[in-house]
Amino acid sequence: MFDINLSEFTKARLKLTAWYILISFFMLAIFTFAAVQAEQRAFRRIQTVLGNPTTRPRLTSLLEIRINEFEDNYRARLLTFDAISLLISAILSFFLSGRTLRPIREMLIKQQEFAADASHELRTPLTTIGMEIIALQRTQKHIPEKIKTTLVSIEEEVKKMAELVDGLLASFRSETSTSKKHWQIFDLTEAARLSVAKMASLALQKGIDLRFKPDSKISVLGNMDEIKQAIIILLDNAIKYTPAQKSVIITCFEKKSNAIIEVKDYGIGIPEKDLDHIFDRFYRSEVNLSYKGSGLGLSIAKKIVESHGGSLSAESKINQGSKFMIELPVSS
Amino acid sequence: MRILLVEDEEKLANSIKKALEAESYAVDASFDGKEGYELAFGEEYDLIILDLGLPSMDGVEIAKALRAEKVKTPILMLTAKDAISNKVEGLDAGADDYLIKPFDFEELLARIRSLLRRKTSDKELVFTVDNLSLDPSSHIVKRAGKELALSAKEYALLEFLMRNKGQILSKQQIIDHVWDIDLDPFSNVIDVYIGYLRVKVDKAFPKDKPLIKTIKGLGYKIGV
Repeated sequence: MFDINLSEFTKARLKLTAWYILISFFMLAIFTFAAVQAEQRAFRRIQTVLGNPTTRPRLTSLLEIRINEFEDNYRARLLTFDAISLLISAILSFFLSGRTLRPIREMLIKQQEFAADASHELRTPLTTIGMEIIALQRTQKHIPEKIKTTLVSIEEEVKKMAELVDGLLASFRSETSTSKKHWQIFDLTEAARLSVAKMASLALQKGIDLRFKPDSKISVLGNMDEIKQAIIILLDNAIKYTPAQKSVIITCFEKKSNAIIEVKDYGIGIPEKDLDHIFDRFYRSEVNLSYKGSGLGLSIAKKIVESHGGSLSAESKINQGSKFMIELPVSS
Repeated sequence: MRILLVEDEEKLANSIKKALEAESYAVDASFDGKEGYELAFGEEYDLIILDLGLPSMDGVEIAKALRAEKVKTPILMLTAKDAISNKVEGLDAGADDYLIKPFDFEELLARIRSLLRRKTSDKELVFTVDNLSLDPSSHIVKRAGKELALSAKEYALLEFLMRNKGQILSKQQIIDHVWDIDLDPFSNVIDVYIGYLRVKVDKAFPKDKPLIKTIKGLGYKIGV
């Protein structure tokens, strides 16, 4: 159930292996250089002691031939040794980096399991609080107005909390491993249209002009509900951070065999220093602090899009608005 | 309709019981798996709401054991676990439906109605006898176009009669399906409530035929 992104670990392992190999390469290079130096110095000494071209010409030339022969041999062997060592060190590096990463991976899995368990444990008391309120509302005929509004407010918070727990769980669980077999080809324009329909009343409530610019059918392979969820998160964010009377535009088009959904708003924008972090879990820009949100939406959306082999990116200018772009591979 | 609720969170069980009773269901709550199983096996219920994680015997075990004993009562599984594997396990064990905590109470009600519909052979959304109609989703009862004001128990009794229209229902059957386990079996509460219903359903419409009938020595039935 908790298959964390394994490709992430494979990548890290290969990177670590490359580093190990690079280090062994340098060590071997230094060692080889030293060995060659030592060998040359030794022969030079022999030559100066024994060799004297004027008094012992034959011995000197023979010595030189022998030494050259030996030197060629020696270097060839040294190179072979280097090559073999490097190969062995590469294999050992790969093994070693796997060993190094294993406890980290185990810890991460444990952490995810803990988060999932915690989410589960939180659900029951939340249900109880919600049900207590409902039981009260439905059995008590004459509840004073003040208490009534308080109950409704508590109920709202319980719902929010429940959404947060759900979001937390969703962002900890990798959906890809379980749901890939249920993937189907669907029309991305249709997914966008359904998402817009779902968010239309919220936009209307806030007095925001939500415009949809559809394209013809774009076939995409994946889980339509998940992609819809991602689009809804983007629309929800855009509506949240756009003041009344302004517009949010969602566009759907195909570009170089990529299916693209663009959600553009004319809201408060995101400061440049925050732009890199907005997809992090629980990250909330300082300008956004007055707005309500869990800080999970974008990280979930990104996860969904990436699990479909796509990418989610953002551009923004403060006080002018933001643009979020989902790119997915088109299925032929 | 009588429901058994097996849920170990006592507070949650009690609040669900209260809220369902306000919807005129008779509810027995059990906080323990084994006790829940014994009740489900020994008593007549129209629906069982089962929590998945229970002490002494969990929801899956109860569902499996009940189905093995040929108890066909619809089971609605309630759980905090939402992984697909958990759902599959619950449904394969014999549950008819599945609801994840925290649930929306309206959704719980809708699912209960749907499961109760599944039990009756006819898929009627609104029950009618002559010019009397009863809508289980809104609890609106009408005769000759006029809405009747019924108390929760009166409504529950009428719903049970109308779900089984034309059939003679014994007092014991009525007790089993309309009242919870705390009712004293020797009380005359059923006669009293039948009396109330007669006043509101039949005597208020003197021009129409009376619909609620007493079958001496056997019980009651509704029908023309």
